[in-house]
Amino acid sequence: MDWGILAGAICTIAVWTYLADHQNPIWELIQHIYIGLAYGWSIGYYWHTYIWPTFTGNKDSLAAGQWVYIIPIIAGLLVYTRYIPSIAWVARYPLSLALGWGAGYVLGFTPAVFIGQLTNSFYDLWTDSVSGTINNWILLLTLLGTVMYFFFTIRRDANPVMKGGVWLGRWAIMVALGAAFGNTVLYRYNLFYARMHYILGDWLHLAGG
Amino acid sequence: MGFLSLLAAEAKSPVWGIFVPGQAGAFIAVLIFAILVYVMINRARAGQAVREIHKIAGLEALEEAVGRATEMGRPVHYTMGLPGITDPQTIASFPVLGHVAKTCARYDTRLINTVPDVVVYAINEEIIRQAYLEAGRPDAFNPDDVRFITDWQFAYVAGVLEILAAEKPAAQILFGGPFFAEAMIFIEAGALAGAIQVGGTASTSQLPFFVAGCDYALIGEEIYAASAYISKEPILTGTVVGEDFYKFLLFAVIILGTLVATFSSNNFLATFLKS
Repeated sequence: MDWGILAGAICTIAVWTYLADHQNPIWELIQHIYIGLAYGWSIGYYWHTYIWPTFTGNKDSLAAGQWVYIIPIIAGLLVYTRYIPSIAWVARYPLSLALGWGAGYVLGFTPAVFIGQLTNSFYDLWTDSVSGTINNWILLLTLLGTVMYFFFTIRRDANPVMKGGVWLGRWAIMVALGAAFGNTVLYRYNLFYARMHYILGDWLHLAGG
Repeated sequence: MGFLSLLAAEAKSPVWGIFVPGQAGAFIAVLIFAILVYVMINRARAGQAVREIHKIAGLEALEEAVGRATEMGRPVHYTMGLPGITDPQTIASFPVLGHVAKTCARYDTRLINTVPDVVVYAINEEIIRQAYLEAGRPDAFNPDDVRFITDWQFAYVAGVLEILAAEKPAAQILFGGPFFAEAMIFIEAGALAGAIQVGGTASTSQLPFFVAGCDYALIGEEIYAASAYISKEPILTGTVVGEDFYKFLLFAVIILGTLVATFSSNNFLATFLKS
């Protein structure tokens, strides 16, 4: 008897009881265990991966002379002032810092990707093959239509070009979303299949392969 | 991808200490964008004419959702999926959260916000607290309704499912992101709870589920324009108008680049942008 597999199978079935009743005691028990485990694991993970090495690690730590780390440590500790009503406002400063850093990070790291997308949109509309030419025309027109769909300062019925472009863009988006929908549903079936294989094969030995 | 590109770029020596070779195209693109946004924000602030943002279908559903929750005397649940402070979708969701919180405060409707990220949790609590303050209802703000559950994706899902089943919100707003596999589970549980659902994300893998499952859905960049449309804030409005001008420019560059790619064997435009 593999107790690990047994535990996994029981947990799986316990989670599936949600389908029968959204507030049954088995589901609630497994849910609380799961969230508790997640909390415990996270605390252990952050302690061993970030907090303790920051103080005592051989390099990139306070013990190794990286005193500059005191600044983010203090900023992090200031977040906890929100639990002291009289100085709760102090917490807004490190949070503002985090928000500003996040926005700056996005601005700094996104353009390289964006330029690649832009230059990859320069299609050759007269290729050696008929299918290649048709493909590129479809790609260009649907791309331009989709960009037009996301113009927010021009009324969509402002002129026939805009109207037609937005119509084409909407269809292109819907076709793309439909394809993505089917793809993701198929992937979810794969996950379900893997779980059934675990229950019927690994645990009950009713299915092989 | 961008991170890897930057790592690769870091191997080259920066010019004047700040300009990384191979990123000139990106730098110019960002510079033009920054100038456009700056000019438009200044115009909007000064009360000068800027183009008006047209109505975004689905956005006014936020009011409808809160109104429905008010009529039914049940709460509103707001989730950003699996937000991160470096994700633009998360940042775009903050003003919308503030707007929803203010509307809830005005109508005296309970707002439950669940979060799986500690930094975003702290920011959300501040945003909601401020919204209640601005609505003149600071006493109605309940910090316990802003809930950090856990940063494990499916443990967070388990917690949200319990909240949806127990609190039976009349409206669920899934806005921002990024959203992953939890999105459809939330939408399904929200439907079971009888909630009207308004979704908005730029997470392309989950957008189909938003469109299929939510009563109203905002797709892609609409979530960035949404906050500007709602708030009428000059900074946000100026940003969206500036973005639109930039899109015009990109539109022209795509057509120009395509013409060059079609009629010339040497696509100098692509080479320049990648330089």
